[in-house]
Amino acid sequence: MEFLRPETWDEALALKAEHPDAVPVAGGTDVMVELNFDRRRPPALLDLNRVAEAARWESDGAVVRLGAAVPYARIVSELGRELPGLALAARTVGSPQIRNRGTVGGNLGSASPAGDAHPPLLAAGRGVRVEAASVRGTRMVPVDDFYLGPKRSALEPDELVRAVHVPVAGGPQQFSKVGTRNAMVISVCSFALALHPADRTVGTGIGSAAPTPRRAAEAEAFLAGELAERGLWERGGELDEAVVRRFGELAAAAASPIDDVRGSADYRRHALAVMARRTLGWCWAGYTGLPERSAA
Amino acid sequence: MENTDLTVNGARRSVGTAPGSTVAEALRDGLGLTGTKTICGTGACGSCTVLLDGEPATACTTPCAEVGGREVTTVEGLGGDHPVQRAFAAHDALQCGYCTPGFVVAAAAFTDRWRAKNGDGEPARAEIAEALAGHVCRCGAYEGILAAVAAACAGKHDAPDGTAPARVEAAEKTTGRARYTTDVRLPGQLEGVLVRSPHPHARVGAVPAAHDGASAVVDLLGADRTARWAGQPVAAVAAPTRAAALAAAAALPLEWTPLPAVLDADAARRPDAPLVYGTAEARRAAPRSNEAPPPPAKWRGNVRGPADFSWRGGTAAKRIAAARARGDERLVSAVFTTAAQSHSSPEPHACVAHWDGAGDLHLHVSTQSVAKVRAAAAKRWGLAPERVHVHAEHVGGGFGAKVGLGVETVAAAELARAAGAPVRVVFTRAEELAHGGHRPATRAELSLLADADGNLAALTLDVHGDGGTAVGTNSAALARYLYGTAPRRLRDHDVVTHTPPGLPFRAPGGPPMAWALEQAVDEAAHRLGEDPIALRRRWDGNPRRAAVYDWAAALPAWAGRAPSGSATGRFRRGVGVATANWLYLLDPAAEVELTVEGGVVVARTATQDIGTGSRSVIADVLRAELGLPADRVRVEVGHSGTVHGPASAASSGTPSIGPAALDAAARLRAALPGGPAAALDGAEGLRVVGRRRRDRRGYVTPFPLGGLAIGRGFAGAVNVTEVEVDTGLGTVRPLRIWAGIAAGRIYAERLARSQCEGGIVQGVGYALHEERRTDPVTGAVLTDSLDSYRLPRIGDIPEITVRFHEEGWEHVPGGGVGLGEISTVAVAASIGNAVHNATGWRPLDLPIRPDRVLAGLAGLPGRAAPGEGGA
Repeated sequence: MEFLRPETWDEALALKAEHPDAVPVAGGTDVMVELNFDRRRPPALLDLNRVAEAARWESDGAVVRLGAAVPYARIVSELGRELPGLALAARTVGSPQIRNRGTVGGNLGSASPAGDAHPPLLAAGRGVRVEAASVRGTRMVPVDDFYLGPKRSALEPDELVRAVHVPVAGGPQQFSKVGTRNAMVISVCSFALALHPADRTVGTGIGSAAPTPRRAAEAEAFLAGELAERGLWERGGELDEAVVRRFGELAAAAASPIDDVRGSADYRRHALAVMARRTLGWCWAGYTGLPERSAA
Repeated sequence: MENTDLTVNGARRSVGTAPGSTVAEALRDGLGLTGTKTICGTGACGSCTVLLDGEPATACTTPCAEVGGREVTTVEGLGGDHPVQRAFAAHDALQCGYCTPGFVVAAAAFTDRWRAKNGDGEPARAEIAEALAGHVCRCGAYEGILAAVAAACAGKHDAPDGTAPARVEAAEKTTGRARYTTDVRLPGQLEGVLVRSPHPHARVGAVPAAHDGASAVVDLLGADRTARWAGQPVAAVAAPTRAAALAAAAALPLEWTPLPAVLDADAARRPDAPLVYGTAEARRAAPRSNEAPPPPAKWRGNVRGPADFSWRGGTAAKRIAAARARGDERLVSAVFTTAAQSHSSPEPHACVAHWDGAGDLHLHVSTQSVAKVRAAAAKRWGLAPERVHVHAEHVGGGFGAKVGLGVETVAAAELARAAGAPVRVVFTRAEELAHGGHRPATRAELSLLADADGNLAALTLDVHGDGGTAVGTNSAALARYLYGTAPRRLRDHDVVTHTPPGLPFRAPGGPPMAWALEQAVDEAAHRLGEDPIALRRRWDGNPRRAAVYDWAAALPAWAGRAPSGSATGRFRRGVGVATANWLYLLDPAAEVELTVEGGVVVARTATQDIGTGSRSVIADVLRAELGLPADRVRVEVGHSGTVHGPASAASSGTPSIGPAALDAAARLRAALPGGPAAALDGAEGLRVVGRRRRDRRGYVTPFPLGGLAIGRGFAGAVNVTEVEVDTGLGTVRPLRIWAGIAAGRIYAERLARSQCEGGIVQGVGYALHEERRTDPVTGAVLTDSLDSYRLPRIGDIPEITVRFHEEGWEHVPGGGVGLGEISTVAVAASIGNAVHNATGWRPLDLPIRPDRVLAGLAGLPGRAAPGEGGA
């Protein structure tokens, strides 16, 4: 097995074109596990750690361009204001050791439905784009089109995730995740919610409860419609309990979970409804400045 | 191979590594820095934590080729004087020590950063838990770890305090110097791997005597030629590298004839089910999930039983049938189930075997019994016992799965003989979780009847154990020894299937028995309108527990608990109680040998320290009895070639070596009339052997069985547990657990406390998280990683209070018995009872999973599904 160590993106893309079977690695938290267990023996690893740009992020005030190899620990400490949903999700990733190494680029590259970064990216708005680069050029793939199946993404064999572009939050964003123990929880399922007051839309993301990360489109449309119809975007005020409950039901209905060793399909649907109600309660409290009502 | 240049602990090092290898491999295999341990290989356990440019990272998921030019700091690089290392020793934040280096490295980084930011002070418990969320301590030393890190952050360990640590080998374990079997490297050593059956049931053709790329190939199946579970070792292969051995094993031509298999207990019971054991001989050779020889019982197909332990069983059955017929409210009947629990010792099953030029066999082995390994190896290979040399300097846990001659040892010794070179066999974490042993799953049908006076009138308990190919279910039998002498029908059954065999696991049979009986007693108290502690105190025949009940009843949490099911709201708190009872076993042949060497009293016995603290028990006795300072006593265990020592199993270690050490001390005192402290320097070479003196009134067993005698009296425990149930998500969070333990005199107080805390931690795992799952179609174990098999972590653990009641064991020399098992037996049951108190719903199935909680709450009469109503 070869270990390829490019110093620049140009080199990285050239190497990926030459070795389409090469597996990109930054933190190694997914890839090395597969190697350790002989689940996969790729002919080459493509180490992105020397490509300085990959570990940088920049913001023009409207959109954050997040390099593929920025570790979760830095998202938590540096991007809590710009990308609050992603930062909240990043806090729940593994352990400090894993957050020091794991990256959003890795989550996107492996496209595991359990990746914690996916739901907040989906919720952050239709403007989220994955920058997929190759020697042929750069494509901006809308995040909705990125996930194709379990561990399958829209990336071509010669492409690398170079960055992800995420709009700076214009409203409250929340993330919730359940596991079967308190510490170091791998997601049984997770839910992200973002309110976008500028265009009066609602964003959601569901993790670990379908073959791919997905949004709860009906729940988004329902909530945005209710908020508009009742004038709540402008005047704030309390959310009707029936609205909260219906939002939870629609969020759960959007999932198509399976039974596995982490949890049952029924439990995942139930938990999604609970998480959708909870995150809505938190977001609405953040939006209106009103104290959160019991929204369990 | 390629060379990678690393900066490790401040020095430039060059190490040859295979492409794609990890920092962990480079450190351990390339540089011999074996303080860095690899328990899981998935970044999930933290044992391989190193600092990369000062930040914690898991070395097992970090490619070696990446870290050239970066600074790697390992546990060895911390020296031994980091405040966290001193604090871990001072607070006994460890047991077996195998996960300790990883904890120490991460805790050191956390402590340094926290103090730089906050100055000296104590971080909140939750903040420390979050920093160490990536680590697993299977022994459960979390309370000590939390205390140690808090004290280090507060600046209490910046300088040595001059006192010896409670655990004599603490410094070795906090610096990574302690050497385990997995750390042994002998010159010319080959790597051995096991070839496991891909089928749950198959005839297996002959194993070839040699194969390309293999230095040796050996057969492990013998004349039977039948594989009875997916994963059963059938052959072993050795090669110069692990990769080569794996490749040769994968290519080994073996002829498999798959046979019909039964993969669950229901299928196994059907009249036309394929038989796991077709002959009486095969049945006799069945592996056992219990340390005691199985009592006689008949086989019918795949069911063995009943093994009957009844006392006036007919009367019990009649009373219960009559109560059922008249609809008696004081009759409690339910079916309780428990899931299989994997041991998952931190150090996997491991052996390095070597035959010397004289034909002696040398075994470095991770074992709970140096003595049993030596005896079994001598028998198997036809050697005089003194020609088998067993070494287990440090042992990374066992919990019952490492008592005898394991397949890793058989394979390593056979391969070493065939190859003419030392061979190492080490299980992977996946092998350990799937095939390294588990507590069998059980199904218990229980009926308990109270009479009009509120006394126990009758009990019937039928337990079916599902231990794969193993037999030895004993849970019903254990209900014989609690709650007086009321009539009881107690029957144990084994249902065998083509799945991996269970093994004895800390208090075999105890937790499933308590899960059923202690919840039934709780329910009886509920029906009788009596306080559950008061009822138990009334029913309990063990006088040693009376004081413990009084202590438990006076706990403010107990006194202030609300009536069961009265809590409302999303988060509901409840408090539960459960009682435990455990046999007192000992090894009456245990000895401790003392020799005066260079002015130091050196104690030796062929026992081992798997984290239970046998070194420290002996050292404490000798220091106290001889009035010697710490540096005048040295304890050497973990080697054969000295006097007989007990197994670290069945809670028998301490009540065997403690008295033997007392006797040895008395003999040495007698041989040194001037007093030991003054006379040691002139007594070079003086040797005495202390024996385990007999208990007053002797033992229940006329002669030892398997090296163990059953002593008189039962250890007791009472657990009180407070939980909070999230009725929205169905999760159960233990908030506080109290344990009153009646096991007599405590030898080494801090270590005893830690062991009891560990028993409680494992009980919490058993109650809430741990569930070994098998694929119903292939028989393969699905929970074969630390992601899918959920061990409790530091953030899952409540505050634990342990209280020892030390009276009542005056008939035992030394005055105390073992603690390892009694501390874990009733924990899950106390959590079940606390959930009932919180919610009014009684969990019958372990683990208490969130989906089960939600289904249970939804089924309560007169209540909407919780969480659905926006409550």
